[in-house]
Amino acid sequence: MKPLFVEKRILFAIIALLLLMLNSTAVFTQVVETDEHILTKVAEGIYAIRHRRAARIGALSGNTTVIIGERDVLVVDSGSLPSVARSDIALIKQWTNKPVRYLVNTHWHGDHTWGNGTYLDTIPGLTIIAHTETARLIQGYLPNFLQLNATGAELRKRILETGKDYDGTPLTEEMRTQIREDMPNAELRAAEFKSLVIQLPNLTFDRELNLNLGNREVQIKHLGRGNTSGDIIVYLPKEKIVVAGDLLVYPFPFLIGGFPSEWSRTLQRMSDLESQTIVPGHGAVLFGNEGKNYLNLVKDLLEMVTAAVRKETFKIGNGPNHLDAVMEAVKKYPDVVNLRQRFAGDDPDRRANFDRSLPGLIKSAYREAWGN
Amino acid sequence: MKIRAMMLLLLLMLATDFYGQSKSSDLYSVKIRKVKENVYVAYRPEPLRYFVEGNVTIIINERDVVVVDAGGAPQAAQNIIAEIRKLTRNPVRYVINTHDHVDHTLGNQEYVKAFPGVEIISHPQTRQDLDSDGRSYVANTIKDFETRKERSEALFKRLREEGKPGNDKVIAYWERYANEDIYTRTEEYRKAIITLPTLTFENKMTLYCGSRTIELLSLGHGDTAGDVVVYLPNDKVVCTGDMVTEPIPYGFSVKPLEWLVTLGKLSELDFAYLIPGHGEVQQSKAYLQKVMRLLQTVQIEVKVAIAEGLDLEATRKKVDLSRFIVEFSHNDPVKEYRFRGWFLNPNVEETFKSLKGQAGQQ
Repeated sequence: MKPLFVEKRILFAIIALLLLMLNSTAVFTQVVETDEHILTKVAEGIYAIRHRRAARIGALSGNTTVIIGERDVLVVDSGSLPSVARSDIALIKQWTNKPVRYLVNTHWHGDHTWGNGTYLDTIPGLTIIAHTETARLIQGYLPNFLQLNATGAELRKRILETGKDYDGTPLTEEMRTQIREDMPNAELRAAEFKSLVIQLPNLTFDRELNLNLGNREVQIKHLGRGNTSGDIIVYLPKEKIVVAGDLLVYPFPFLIGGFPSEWSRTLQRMSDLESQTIVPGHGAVLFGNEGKNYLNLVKDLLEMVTAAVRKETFKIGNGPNHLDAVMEAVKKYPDVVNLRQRFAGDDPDRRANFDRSLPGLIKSAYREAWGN
Repeated sequence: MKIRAMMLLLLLMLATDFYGQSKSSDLYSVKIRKVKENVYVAYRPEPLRYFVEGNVTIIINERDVVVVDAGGAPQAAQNIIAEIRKLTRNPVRYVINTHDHVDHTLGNQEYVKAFPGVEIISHPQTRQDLDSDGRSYVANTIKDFETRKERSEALFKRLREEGKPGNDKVIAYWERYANEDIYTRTEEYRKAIITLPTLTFENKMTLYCGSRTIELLSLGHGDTAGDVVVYLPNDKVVCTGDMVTEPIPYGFSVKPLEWLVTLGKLSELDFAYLIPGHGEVQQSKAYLQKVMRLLQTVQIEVKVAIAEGLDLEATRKKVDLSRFIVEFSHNDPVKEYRFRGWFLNPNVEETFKSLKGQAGQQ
């Protein structure tokens, strides 16, 4: 009896250790950091790329996700610069010699779509998939927007020379230093923009698209509006992975513009999908409960702030000119204060970030409340 | 002398295959009609010839080709691909299946062979139905071949006994199938490999091919649950699949009420050319409106019959479509035969079931 009892305990210990190992995501994922990027192996044949260099030179880029099937490769989002796209394509070649057949744009913003041209140059038969709205909105970048950016370095030089900003106001010393320090990066960016060609999606949809990369089913879904009118996610039902685009940005959401009242509903639908991993549009990959909890946190932020804005707008304003008053009132809501705590804790930088971003959300919610 | 006769006999035997028919059947030969610049339709010259073949629309873009529906046999698809190659060197990039029926999808495999990497697009329901119903339909057709003699004899007997004027023409129409075309068809079905769509979409999808925009629309249940209509907004062309067929509408839709609603949505599109699932290209909305009037009349007549407490058989007798029979069959006995068999009988029954079901819910 006694020896069995001892053996049992060791057996249980081994089983517990194994279970612990299985639960620990560190066993199955690799994270590789270089100057260029942070790579996360999300699952076998599925990689998330976070672009560091692009951010350093002032051209913040969205995450790129690479999904490799037995036959084809699908890439989600093409980055903010041709050099980002080139670097990602080189990475993919290291991982597989299967062809990149599909590129998906989660939404229209340039930090996710300006690499389209580089992909199409490298892969002439590429299918670029997006929501119909995204194709329409990308056209907003044509034809002059990129030209502006291409001449950015020259414009800044002129500003330094004349001592006056774009709108004629004189430069502060702080701004002068900022521009001078950014100048090398501004020139890098300008050089890239000179060669950047905007390429539109060539296959769009408005509800759902299903395809298979060879034993890898991919569902591309429009769950509703949120950050933009054409937000889509890429969902792998077998691997239970959601690639969220900027519907979910970590560690803090981008809150300029968008459709806050619909966004939380869209996130609810995302949450309803069976998933164990979420790749956000920016920021680290979220595994297991980390993803679920963060999703709920952002959903709460959107719901509570839009509810507060609606209440205050009804109380305060009978016209569109009460934004400041509404903003002050909403900031004091216990829900909102609580959210600040949940997002930022006691970290002063994070609290500052929250305070800086909140007005953007309040503005959008206010605009929506007025049906603007 | 004897030897020569024997050699002639041998030659004759070799010229016809084991099943006793000529190898050079024209069942799957196609004709090409230009609809507009870079838009062609490949069609069977006799649309009622059994077993029917779906129209195939060929859309030639600057760099590639989009094909709507794939034909109903490997041979048909091969013939159409040969025609495409005469028209352009561009590869076929997309094949769209408007619905699952095999006379529109059995050619899928040939496009995969001829154009590696081709994407076959459909509604998810179409993919599911082709995988299930499509497979069993092909298997059953091959099986039915074994009992072809008994079944055709029974059919001819029935038609002769019915003694309807024009039945001799209907018998001749069937004899062509029973004596020739069934062999070609069965051989093709034995060869066919069901190839499923590779990309499915719900509701709406748009392809941007060079300067041309191609919209794929699920307007609703028409002939089938997975019906997709292909619309070219700049060329003002619409390919309808079997929700519109000419000269005879197919009445097998199990959702006849929805079918009429879907046709309503179709008629709201801005088009100058309507390419039906079978039959002639239409250059106005007149035929579509004719079909809609037909469906509406059936619905009204069946509603009245149900209100009067009639059962299905009595309803069949009461529903008066004599005006439409003439309008659609132009006194051609084969056309009338098909109008009754492919539209009238099934559509009255499905409409009866749907309206009765509705009434039951009230």
